[in-house]
Amino acid sequence: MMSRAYVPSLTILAAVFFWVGCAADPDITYGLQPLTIESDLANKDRVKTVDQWISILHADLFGTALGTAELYEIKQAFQSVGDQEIAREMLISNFMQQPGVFLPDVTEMNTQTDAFIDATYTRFLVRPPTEAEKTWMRQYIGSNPNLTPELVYTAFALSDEYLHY
Amino acid sequence: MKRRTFLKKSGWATAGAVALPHLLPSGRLFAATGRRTGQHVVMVAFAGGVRLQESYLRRYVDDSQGEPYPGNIMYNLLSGDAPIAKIVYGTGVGGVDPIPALLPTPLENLGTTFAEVSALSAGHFVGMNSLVQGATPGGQGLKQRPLRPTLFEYLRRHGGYKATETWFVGNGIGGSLPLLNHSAHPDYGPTYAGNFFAPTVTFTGQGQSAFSGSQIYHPENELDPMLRMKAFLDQQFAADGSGGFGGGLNNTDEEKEDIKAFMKLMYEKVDSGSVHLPPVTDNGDAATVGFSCEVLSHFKPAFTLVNLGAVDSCHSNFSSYLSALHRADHAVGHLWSHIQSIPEMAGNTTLIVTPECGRNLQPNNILDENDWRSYDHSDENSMRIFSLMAGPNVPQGLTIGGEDNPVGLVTDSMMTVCDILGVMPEVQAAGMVHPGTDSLFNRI
Repeated sequence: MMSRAYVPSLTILAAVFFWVGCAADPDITYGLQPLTIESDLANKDRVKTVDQWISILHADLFGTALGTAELYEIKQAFQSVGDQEIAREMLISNFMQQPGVFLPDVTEMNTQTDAFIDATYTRFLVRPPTEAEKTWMRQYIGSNPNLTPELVYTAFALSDEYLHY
Repeated sequence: MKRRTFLKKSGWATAGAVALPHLLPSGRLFAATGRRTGQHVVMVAFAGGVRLQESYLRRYVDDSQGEPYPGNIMYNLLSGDAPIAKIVYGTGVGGVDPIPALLPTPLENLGTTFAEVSALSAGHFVGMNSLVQGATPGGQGLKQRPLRPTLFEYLRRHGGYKATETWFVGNGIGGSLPLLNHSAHPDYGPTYAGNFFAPTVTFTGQGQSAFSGSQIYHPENELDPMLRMKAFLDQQFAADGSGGFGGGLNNTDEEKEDIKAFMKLMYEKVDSGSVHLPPVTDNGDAATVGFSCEVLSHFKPAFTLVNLGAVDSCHSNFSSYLSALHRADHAVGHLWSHIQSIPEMAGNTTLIVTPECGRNLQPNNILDENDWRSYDHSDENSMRIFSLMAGPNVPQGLTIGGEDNPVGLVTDSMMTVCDILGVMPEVQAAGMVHPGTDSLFNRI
C-alpha cells in the first residue's frame, strides 16, 4: 500500500507533467516562403493578337524573326479569309513546306520520345509537360505510326493554348 | 391500358415532343416558319456608288458632262441602245471598243426592275451595312462587327443553312468588308456566320504567298491523328471560348477540309490560268466575279453575296467610272451566264442586283483626261438607286416605279433573300431591320 506521504508529491509531479505536456509548440520557422501550388496552364489568360501569333509561329518554326513587310502581307491574307481557323491551318502547312523550317527527324521522335515531347512543349507552349501529358503523348506517339514531327508541330501550333500567353 | 402504363407512355411521348426539335438534322431548335420558294440566291452588291443617271436612266454623259449623248452602257442588265459617240468605256486605247454583250436578253427583260429605290445613306459603309443587315449600322464603328445580325446569320440561325451554304465574296479587304460576314449580336454571331473570301487578296494577292504552298493532309492517316492530338491539348487547356484572335465560323471539319481543298484548287487554277473569269478581266470587279463563279460551281451555296466597287473611281475620274460601270455589267452578265451552266443552279437561282448608294447630282472640281467632271456621294441624288431581280417566280419584263417615283428601300434586297430562302417571318419577328423594309415580291 502506498504511504500517505507520497500522495502530495505525486499530485504535484502529475500537475507538472500535465502543464509541460499541454504547452504550445514553439514558433519555429525554417526560412521558407509560403507557396501557392497551381497548374502551369493557369497563367495564360491573354489572347495573342494575330501579329503575335504569326510572329511567334515563325520564330518557333524557323528560329528567326519575321520581317515587318512579310508580317503585313500575311496579316492581309488572314483578313481575306472568313474562317481564321482555316487561315491558321493553311499558314502553318505553308510554313512547313518551306526550306529552313526546323523539324526533327521522325526517327528521333520515335527513339527519343521523351526528349522530343519535352522539347516540343517547351518550344510551343513555353512550359514542360505534366507527367500526365507526357504519359499520354508518349503512348499516343508510340501507337500512331503515321504521326510525324510535322503533324505534332501542327497540332501544337493549332492548339488553344498556343493562341494564349 | 393500365393507368400507370398510360401515364408512363404519355410522359415519354411528351418528353419526346419537347426534345424532338433539338434533334433536327440541321441542329436547329425548330423548323423555319417561312416558305422557301427558291433554292439559290445570288445577290450582287453593285457597289461603289452608282449614279442613277448613268445606270438605270441610261443617260451616259448627257446630264453629267453637258454632252448630248445619252445611251446604255450596261446592256447585260438593261435594254436600250448604246451611246453613239464619246465612247470611252470599252477596251483598247482610250476605251473606244465597247465590250460585246454576253447575254442575248438583258436581265431587265428576264426579270423585274425597280427603277428608283431609296438608299438609306449616301456612303459606302452604311450602304453596305444596309444591304447586309437590312438596317443602318447605328452606333457601329468603322472597324467593328455589325451590332445587328447580318443576312448570313439570319439564314443560318433561322433557316438551318450550313456555313458553306452562305458565302460572301468581297472585292477586297478595305472598308471593314471582312467584318460583315457576321455580327457581334449576342444571339447570333460567329456561330451563324457566312464564309468569306476576298479573292483578289486570297488567291492572287498576299494569300497566294501565305497559303498556296500548304499541303492537304490525308484525312485518316494524317489529319485525324493530328486533330486528336490537338483535341487532347485543348482538353488540357481551359480556353476562354473566344477561339483566339479570330475563331472559326462553325464550319464542320468536313466543310473546313472542303474549303481548304477549294483554296488549293484555286491556286492551281490561278497558276494554270483556268479560273472562270469574264472574257474581259482587266479590273478587280471582274476578277472577283470570276472567283465568285468558282465558289458557285464548287459549293452551290443557297446564298452568295458578291461585292463590287470599282466604280468608286468616280471621285476623281469620270471616264474610269464609266469603264468600271461597263465592266460591272459585263461581270454580272458573266455571272448569270455561269449560273445557268451549273446544273444544280440553272433555272432555280434568283439574282438580285442593287447598288449600296448613288452619287451626287452636282460634280466636284476634278477633271479627268477627257475633261469630264467627277462625282462624289453626299447629297439627295446619292440616295437614288435601282434594284433588279431575275429568276424563278420573278415576273419578267416588269418595271416598278420610275424616275422620281421611288418604290422600295435598299434594305428590301436583303429581305427578299430572306423571303426566297424561307426565313422572312423570323427576321421580321426579330425586329432589327429598318422600318418599312419588305420583300421586293411584296412591292410588285
